[in-house]
Amino acid sequence: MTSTGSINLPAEEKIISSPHSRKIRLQERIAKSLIWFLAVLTIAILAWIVGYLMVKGLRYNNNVPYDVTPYAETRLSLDAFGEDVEDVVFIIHHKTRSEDIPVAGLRKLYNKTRPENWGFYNQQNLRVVPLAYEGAGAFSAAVKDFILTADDLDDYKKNVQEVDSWQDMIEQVGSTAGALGFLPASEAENLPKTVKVLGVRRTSVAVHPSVMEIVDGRMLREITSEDAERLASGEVANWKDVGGIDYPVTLIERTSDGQCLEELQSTKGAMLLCHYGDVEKNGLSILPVKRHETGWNLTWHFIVEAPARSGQWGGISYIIINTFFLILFTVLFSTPVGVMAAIFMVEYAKQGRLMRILRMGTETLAGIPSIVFGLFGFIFFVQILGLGIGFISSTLTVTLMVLPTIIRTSEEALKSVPQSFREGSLALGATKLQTIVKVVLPAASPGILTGIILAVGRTVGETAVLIYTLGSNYDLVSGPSSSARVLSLHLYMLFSEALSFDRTFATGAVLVIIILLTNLSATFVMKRVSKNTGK
Amino acid sequence: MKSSKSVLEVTVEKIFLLSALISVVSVAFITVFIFLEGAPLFAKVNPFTFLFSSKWAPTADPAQYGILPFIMGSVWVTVGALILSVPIGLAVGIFMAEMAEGRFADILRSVVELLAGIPSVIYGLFGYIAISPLIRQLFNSPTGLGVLTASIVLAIMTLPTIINITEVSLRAVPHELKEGSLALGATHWMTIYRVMIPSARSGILAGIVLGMGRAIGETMAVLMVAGNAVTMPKGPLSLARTLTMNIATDMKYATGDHAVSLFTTGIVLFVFILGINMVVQYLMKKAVKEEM
Amino acid sequence: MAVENKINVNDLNLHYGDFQALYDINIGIKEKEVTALIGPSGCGKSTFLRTLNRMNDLIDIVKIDGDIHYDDKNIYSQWDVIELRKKVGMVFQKPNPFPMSIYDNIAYGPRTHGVKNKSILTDIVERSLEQASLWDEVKDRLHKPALGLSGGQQQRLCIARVLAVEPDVVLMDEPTSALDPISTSRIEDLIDELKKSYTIVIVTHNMQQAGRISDKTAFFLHGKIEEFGPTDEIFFNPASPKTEEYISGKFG
Repeated sequence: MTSTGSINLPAEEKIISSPHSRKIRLQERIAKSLIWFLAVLTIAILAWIVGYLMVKGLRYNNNVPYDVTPYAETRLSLDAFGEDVEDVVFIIHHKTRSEDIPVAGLRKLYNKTRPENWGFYNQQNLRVVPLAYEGAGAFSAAVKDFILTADDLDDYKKNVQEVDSWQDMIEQVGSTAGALGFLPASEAENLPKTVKVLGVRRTSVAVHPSVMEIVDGRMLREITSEDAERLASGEVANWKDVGGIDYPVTLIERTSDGQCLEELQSTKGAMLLCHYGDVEKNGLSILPVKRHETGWNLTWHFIVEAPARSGQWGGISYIIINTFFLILFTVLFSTPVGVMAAIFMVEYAKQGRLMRILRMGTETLAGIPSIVFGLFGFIFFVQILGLGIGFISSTLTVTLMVLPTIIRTSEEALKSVPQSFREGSLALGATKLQTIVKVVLPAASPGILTGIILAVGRTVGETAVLIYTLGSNYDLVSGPSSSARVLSLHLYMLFSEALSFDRTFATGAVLVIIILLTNLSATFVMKRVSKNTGK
Repeated sequence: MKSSKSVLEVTVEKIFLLSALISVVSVAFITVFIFLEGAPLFAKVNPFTFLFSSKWAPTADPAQYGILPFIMGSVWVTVGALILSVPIGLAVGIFMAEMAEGRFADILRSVVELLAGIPSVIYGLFGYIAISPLIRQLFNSPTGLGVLTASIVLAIMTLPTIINITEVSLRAVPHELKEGSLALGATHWMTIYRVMIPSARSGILAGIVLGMGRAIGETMAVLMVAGNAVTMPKGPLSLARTLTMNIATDMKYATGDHAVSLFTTGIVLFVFILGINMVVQYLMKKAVKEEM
Repeated sequence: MAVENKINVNDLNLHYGDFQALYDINIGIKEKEVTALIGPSGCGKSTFLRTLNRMNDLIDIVKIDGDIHYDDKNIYSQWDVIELRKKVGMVFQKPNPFPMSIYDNIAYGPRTHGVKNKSILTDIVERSLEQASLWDEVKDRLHKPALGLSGGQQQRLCIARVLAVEPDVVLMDEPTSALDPISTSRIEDLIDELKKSYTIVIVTHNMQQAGRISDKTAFFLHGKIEEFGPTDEIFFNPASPKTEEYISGKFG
């Protein structure tokens, strides 16, 4: 008969056993299954956290309500401003990350007194440079009329930069970052690669006010773009099918004479697809339409661009660099001190009162919560030493925080160096210091490195200690007393100011990736260590 | 020549000693300065009132400083966290020490390390976005934030501490004890819970208390999910503010006595943590003694 | 197969991974006798002993071929390991009392096997301690921690703990090697007493001990049984020259 370890044979008849044995074996099986379940649950929890953050951090996936439908026109007919006017095409610099824009937004880009920024539409921190060509007679006038709302002609004139010809328009738009211009459709064939067409969304769903009335405490606030399409094609017969009032839908045809607007306002349950401009002029009720927007959240741009407008626009490049600086200086300050402290505790100190005090100090320091470190840093470094809220105060505070980590791992590393190494060196006539520097430290260095990596991980994740020692400036660190943000702090600021969940998640994903890399490298170093020592 | 070398050796030794003393000095400084900043409040506010009054209105006239709601907030979320994390932590610790094999053990170990490494803001964000909607739906609470959500988040955060120390303590139980029990016909599970866990109890307890310290001291994660209401928490679904949250929130705008009172809150927190540290060190010492 | 043999081992081969620790072991262990296993370190005698109550099951890489019968039933296919270990108890080299009271140490086994009644447990504790001739020394401190006992007392406590589950066979793995001479002789006396009611298999490094207490002796060498027979014959008239060399102290 052949058998291997831990045998649990099926209960055959001939097996000599007892009911009690079977009972305790069943107990064991239940207990172990429960433990297995909890172990798997732990893995599942981590997978859930990391997976959730990575998915949310890597891609955004939102339904955003707009006054206009998602339908974007690249060639806009201007027939409302004259019978035979050519269609207009809006063009932008190719590096502007917008594909289309609601018509109201387009008008703001041209008209606002304050220089407009693309950031409002695509989070790209880029000033808008509106260009116009006045020399094309009726066409130019029609475009101007299209762009202007009521009385913003002065702003338009102040804002807009004149060009000399359509050719000049294409060249200028192609060479000016953030530029926005327009062309007649006939000139917009074969555009160079430096220029791209900006779609304009100007179709709105206008409805009779009854559609948006509150009935039974419910109100139709917005519809999905799919519902908008089904409504427009007549597929939906009753508003309740899209979550609204119980009333039939009356679809009104758009006419050029304004007849349709009157019809809309007089028919309960009526709906009309028309231009946003008509809606504005006539004060119609609009049913907002949700657009499903999805795409990469954590992009290259997000990593390399500088943050702007409290982090709502741009990227996190400065934040990453600040994080790097905080890590660098924390490691620079804490490593020598920590390693020297460990050397003293392992190589010099004798068991006794001093050692007990040192050990207790390290243990206690390790247990102090980071908010208390924050308070201390705030009184001591910021106020008493007068270093101010800024980089140096926070680095020093974090240094104290990670010191126990470095001391403890270095201590372990030094202890694991075999005594024979030291004896060998001392026997050759080396002094104790020489032995430590030339023999013990090199042998312990991988272990010490693990400690440093752990300290880096701690520094990256620390937040509470930084709020009142590092401040909240999102610029690049420029000196020892400059206030700054690091990744974790930036994440918290974005979160607490509710500026943008997408950007919060993207920052979180970067943070998680850094932590994953730190952990991987720590594991890697530790494996190397155990291989070298042959454990 | 020889004497100069010994001078160098002595100097370097002194430098090493100084480095080693930095952590002790830091602890002393932290203690002294937190007390210096926070204690003056007791000249104006009776310490008893400060600790046991439930009225916190530092900007009112007259200002009232009672931090009982925050002490209770800390107690609620910490106890809640431990109720959730201790059974799971013990089970996973047992699993790692006694049952895990091969690749799965490696994976689980990395998972626990990673759980320990994830920054608290990430836990807070996750709690806010992923856990609070669940709580909102399951228990029909208005925001989904509060004691329960904070406890769940803190439970996940304290898991690694409890798991690691449970595992280490169980591994330190002499193999002879395990064999002795098995040779008497006990099952592996019986051996674990009737011989090994009792032998490792000081260490396991130290892990739990250490986890408790983590939970009380945690700021960011609870700040993002506990709801931050200045009222006495009444149940798992009520909003809460912990001691740490009180410091972190009010520091933004506090001036005068109000600012001082935050340091006084810091003193209370600090005393809690020191107490916990002392218990941990006592238990660890006991555990080491029991091993021998 | 002789009926009076408590344990019969036929063609037992044991591997630790790639390493073979036991080769073709055949041995019969008689009821109410003391069988000593001797041999140099690493010869497989402890491994063999641990096979008899399946303690080697704990090690994953162990692979066992061959038959071991206890009470004419195969210990792997016909005995539930819990029942087997109840019948075949084991005393280890290093005294291993559990970190609980003396009383709880003894009661551990019976409780494990379902005895809950307090007065029965108390009876078992008293009887077992008396059998292990420890009762007089500890009767006043039954609820004190067992770790407070001396090494020799601890080992007798461990023997009492085994006796408390009413075994048939007691396996002893160098039970006196960690003890002082006085404690050792007390344990030897105890073994002499116990063999009236129990079958005992003892691994020992101490040749004199084997000679003093055993009825049969098996000499293990390189994972094989070099010689097995009545102790007197092994010691005074060995068949194998290697046995003679070992007995006379030429190696080991």
